[in-house]
Amino acid sequence: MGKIDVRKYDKHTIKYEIKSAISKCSCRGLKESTKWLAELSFTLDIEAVKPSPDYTATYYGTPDFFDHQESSQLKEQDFDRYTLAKSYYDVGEYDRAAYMVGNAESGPSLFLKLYSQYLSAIRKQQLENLGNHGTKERALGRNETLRALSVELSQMVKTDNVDSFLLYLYGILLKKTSQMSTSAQHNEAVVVLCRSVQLFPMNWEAWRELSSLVTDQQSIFAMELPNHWMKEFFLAQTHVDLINADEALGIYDNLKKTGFMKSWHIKTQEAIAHHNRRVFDEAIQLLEEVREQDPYRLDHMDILSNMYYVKGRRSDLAHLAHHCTQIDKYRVETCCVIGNYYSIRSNHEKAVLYFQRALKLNPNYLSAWTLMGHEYTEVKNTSAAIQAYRNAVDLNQRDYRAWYGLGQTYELLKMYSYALYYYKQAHRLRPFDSRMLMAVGETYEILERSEEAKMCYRKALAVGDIEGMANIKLAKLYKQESLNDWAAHYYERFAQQAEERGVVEGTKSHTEAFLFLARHHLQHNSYDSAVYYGHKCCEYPEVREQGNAVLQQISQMRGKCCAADNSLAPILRMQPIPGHVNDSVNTMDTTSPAGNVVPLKLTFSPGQAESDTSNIM
Amino acid sequence: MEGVLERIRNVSAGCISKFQYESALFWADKAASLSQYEACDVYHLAQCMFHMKQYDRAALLIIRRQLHLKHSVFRYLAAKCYAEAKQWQAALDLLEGCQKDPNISLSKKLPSTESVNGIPDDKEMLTSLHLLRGNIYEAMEVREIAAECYKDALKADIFCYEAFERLIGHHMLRADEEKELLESLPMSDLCKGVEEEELVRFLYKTKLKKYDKPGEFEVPDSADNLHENLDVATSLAERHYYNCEFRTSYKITEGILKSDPYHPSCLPLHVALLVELKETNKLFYLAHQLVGKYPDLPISWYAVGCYYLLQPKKQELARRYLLKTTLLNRMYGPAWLAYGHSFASQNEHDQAMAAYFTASQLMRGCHLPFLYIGLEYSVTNNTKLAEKFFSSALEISQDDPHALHEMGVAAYTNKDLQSALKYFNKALELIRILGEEIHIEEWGPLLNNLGHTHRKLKNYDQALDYHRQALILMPHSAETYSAIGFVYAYMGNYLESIEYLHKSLGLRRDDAFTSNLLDYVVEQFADADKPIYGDIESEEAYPIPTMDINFKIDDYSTPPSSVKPSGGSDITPEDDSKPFGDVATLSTPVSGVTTIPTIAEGRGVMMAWSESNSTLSDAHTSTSTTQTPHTARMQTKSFTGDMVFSTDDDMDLDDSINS
Repeated sequence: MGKIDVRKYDKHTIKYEIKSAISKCSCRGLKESTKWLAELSFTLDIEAVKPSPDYTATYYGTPDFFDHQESSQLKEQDFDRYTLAKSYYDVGEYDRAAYMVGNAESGPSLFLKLYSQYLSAIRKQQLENLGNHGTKERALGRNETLRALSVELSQMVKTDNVDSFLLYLYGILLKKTSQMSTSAQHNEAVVVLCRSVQLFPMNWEAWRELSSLVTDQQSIFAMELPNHWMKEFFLAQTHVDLINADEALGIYDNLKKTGFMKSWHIKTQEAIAHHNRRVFDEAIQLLEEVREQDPYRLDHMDILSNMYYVKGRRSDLAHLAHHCTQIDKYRVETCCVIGNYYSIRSNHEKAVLYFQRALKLNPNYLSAWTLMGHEYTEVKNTSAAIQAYRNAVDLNQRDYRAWYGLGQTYELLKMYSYALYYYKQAHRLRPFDSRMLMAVGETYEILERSEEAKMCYRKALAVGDIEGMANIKLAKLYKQESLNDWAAHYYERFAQQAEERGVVEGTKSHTEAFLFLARHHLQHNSYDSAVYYGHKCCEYPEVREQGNAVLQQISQMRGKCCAADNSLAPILRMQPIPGHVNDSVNTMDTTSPAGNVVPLKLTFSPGQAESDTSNIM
Repeated sequence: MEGVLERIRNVSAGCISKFQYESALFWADKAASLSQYEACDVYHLAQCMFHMKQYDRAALLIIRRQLHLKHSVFRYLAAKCYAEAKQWQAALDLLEGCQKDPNISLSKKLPSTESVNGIPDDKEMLTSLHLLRGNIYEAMEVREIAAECYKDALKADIFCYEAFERLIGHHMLRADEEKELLESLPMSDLCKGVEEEELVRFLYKTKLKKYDKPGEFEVPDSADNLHENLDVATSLAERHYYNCEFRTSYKITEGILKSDPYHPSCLPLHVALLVELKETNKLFYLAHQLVGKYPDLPISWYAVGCYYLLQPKKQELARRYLLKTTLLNRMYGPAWLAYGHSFASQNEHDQAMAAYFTASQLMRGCHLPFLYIGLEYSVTNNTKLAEKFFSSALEISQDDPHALHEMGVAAYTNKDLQSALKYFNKALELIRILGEEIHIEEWGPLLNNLGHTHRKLKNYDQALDYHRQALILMPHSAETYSAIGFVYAYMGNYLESIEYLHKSLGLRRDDAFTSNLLDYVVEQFADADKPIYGDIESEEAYPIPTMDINFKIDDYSTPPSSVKPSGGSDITPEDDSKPFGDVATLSTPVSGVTTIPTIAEGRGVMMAWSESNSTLSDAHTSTSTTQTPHTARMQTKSFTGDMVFSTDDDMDLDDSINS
């Protein structure tokens, strides 16, 4: 992808750029960008050197970009006006700020005016619909103020009378008001944001929005982006969002070499990438590092709590929850942490309550929707769960957990064609995740389309069967079709796999497998194998009878054919029966479709078993 | 003696100019007596009486002395007095009394041509006579003759704005007739110089019907300062209004009202804009102010009525105040339209139509009443009649995109897809002329309807395209999402279809058509979508089952039963290749009609309207001839879609307006 060698950038000039950008963003009230840049600047502890004119000309249009101060462009009177407006803006009185700016033509004042109007409209919409989070209420497209704003901006854009910041504002307006219902709108938003970052590459919010518009890796190449070092951050962020953990980690490594070793942003992003790869220990470690340096941080703490949850670290989770409550009870992240905390204690009603609070605070908080869906599934409130998942999907089409959750819920409702659709969506997003494939396969099986089901199971095997259920499923299907050879093949692989993975034997599937194999081998006169599996059968009370029967049959046959060597059988028979069989029955049975009510916290768990054990605790 | 008379005459004249009419009357009376009722003194006396609103007295004064037979001034004055006293027939008799042949010019009928000092001579009075005659005829509801009279007045004197205003403002002419009139005016004869002509022509042109014209607006160089003239600005605002650019228009009218808070021609426009933008609070305040200051002007009560019109639960009150408006001035067309809207919004179709009919009689040159009547008919499923009214609306205004659109809808419901397409396309073309880009929500339904038509014509790509454009205009529209899903279903793109149908249901959960369609599509998807999981480690050559993708018909005609997700019982396979054969036709009422009326409004059913109507006309046969110019079209598209009830109840006007 034409990787830029990040090292060619001088960190001293980077520092200068950041510092200059901080003042630019903060005078426009771009709080998030300022925060991000300031954090970056703080962790980049070196002297700032002004970049060369060539460099400036390449990335900022004019070589003397850094020379003139924006505030000095304003006349005295206007400056006072601007300062007043900005102070209103800072205390959150947006309408007042917008009015005060008056008829600014350009520069920070104009941006402040429009941005205040935008924020005010958003806030009003949110307050009006407090507690009702349907798609309809969140739909900003019907908001008159926003529409008027976007028309105004579109006219400015047409006359080319806009700077990078106005373009950014136009971009987010396009995104928010249309919800990307058509590809034309999507493309327009992308183009506008690209232009914004071309004109001024230091506005992180613009990059962030752009990254949220990327639906797949291909579309990154289609964008016209400046080869600025900020692009690296953007690419990495996008890869994290697209769950391409390896690419993201590679870029972050590169960036760290440039001098951003200490950056908290990079650390948290790396943690998220690891989390997506389900390498939890590393992710937890990274986030804890960040927390150590910045103990009152709430950003991304919900992710940390998710991982504690998956790992079953209850005390850590409790501690984190209490700590977050102390910092700020009314933050989305805090609410999610508390929700997770209650969930791990199996107090699902309370968990739902907290997720709801999170959503009241920010109805666009994706993971709260998904988590709430899980909680609702736990308490078997299917319609609420569907609603929650659907909201999650509306917010972010790439959230495969929500798609999967929808599939599960519809399966629970016995609406299998719907479930199939949702599972397929999930599969499309995670083509190499066997769990999705298994789900699709199971649904096909219920729909009595065994050919497709078999295809799915075999594909699941090919991509690495996480749950270890593909073999047995296949075997059962073949058995039903009386293709005993194939069935035996897969049963054998199942048994083999179980042994390799060290899974506790003795579930129904195992016993079934052993019994089948014993009988099968018996039929085919391969007595040794038959004996082996017959003995296996005898280990478990459910099938001991049948196992004995098989063994007897074998000894009879052998007795007929040749001198029977039945000294082996009694010895094997006497082997002790494992005592913990019952536990594992619980664990494994949950994967069968009918009992599949426990939501998979997909991201958090490496396998089915883990999330279940955590629930049992 | 002569000196005293002269002195008294002067005193009287002086008093008039100082607005002391009573003194003037007293002295004029004395002067008249002193001079033994010389013509000029009688004229003065009558004038004073007129100012004092002693109309009958003035008329008698003149008629007793037979002066009206000698001088047209007196004739005019006497007639004017009768007209003021609302004795139309008497006034008309005076004007036309002696000879019944109206073709002979009024001036020729008067035998005396002697000019008397202090009285305007006959020639000067010609225009006024025409105008008065027009007023009287209009009041007597003989509009054709009235229009002719106004035209005569205008031809006699092109600066007679009043006559022009009557013609245009009261919608007496159709758009093409208006243009014709402007062309036929003897501008060059009556104006002194090209610049003057240009100016007059421009000023009159700004007043012409604006709703089917592109937004060109050029002030001639000679009159550059006119940019700031409020009338000119109002015309500009109106243009924006008719192009549905309400915000822009609103900005202008707000500016106008700031410098002149009661600008008469701007107020109706402003009220219409407030309704359009649903600024209930501002409308409430404005109405209060107006009623407080001008309780006699129809516009004040019109504003109150419009305020209530915005409150879905207060239609009763809205009607009451609109009725009051029409009492104040029966000729006030916009009030009748709004009155009709109020009934229409409550599905009282017959009453609404009656109101619209009244409006149509009042505003012969305006197509809106016909358009609305047509809409009422089309809502009551009377497409034939609806079409008739739409086409008469079109006759009046050939290029009105709304009318064209409704024609298209009528054709669509009559299954005449080709002509529907033609109408829709023409409407779209016209809108595109208005603005290089359509970004006004009002046109979303048109685009959607184009989409529906193309879908039925099986041009799925174009259908999608139009629906998408509609989506840009009206983001988050459940209907549009459903329509897109429907088109995708036809195209066999079930995945997309499901997505859009979901979006639609997310916005409008209980839509039976969409949920049925979704059930169907999901099943199709489950059947048709082959798992293409490519590289299976195939140990065995698998005959991949070839799914024969039989399209099936879901019976959407039956009222949607409970959602049956996986049952396939009511699905019958169809063998040929046209998918959803029947579905399409059956579903159209859902997808088509629901969107279509939004461009105009909702409506409903009937009552004993005729009674109330007749009582009304009995009660107010009178018409004031001096009303402010109002634009009837204002109300046009005001009441689109659902009205939002956003103002609190404590904003009611009840407590404060109690007249």
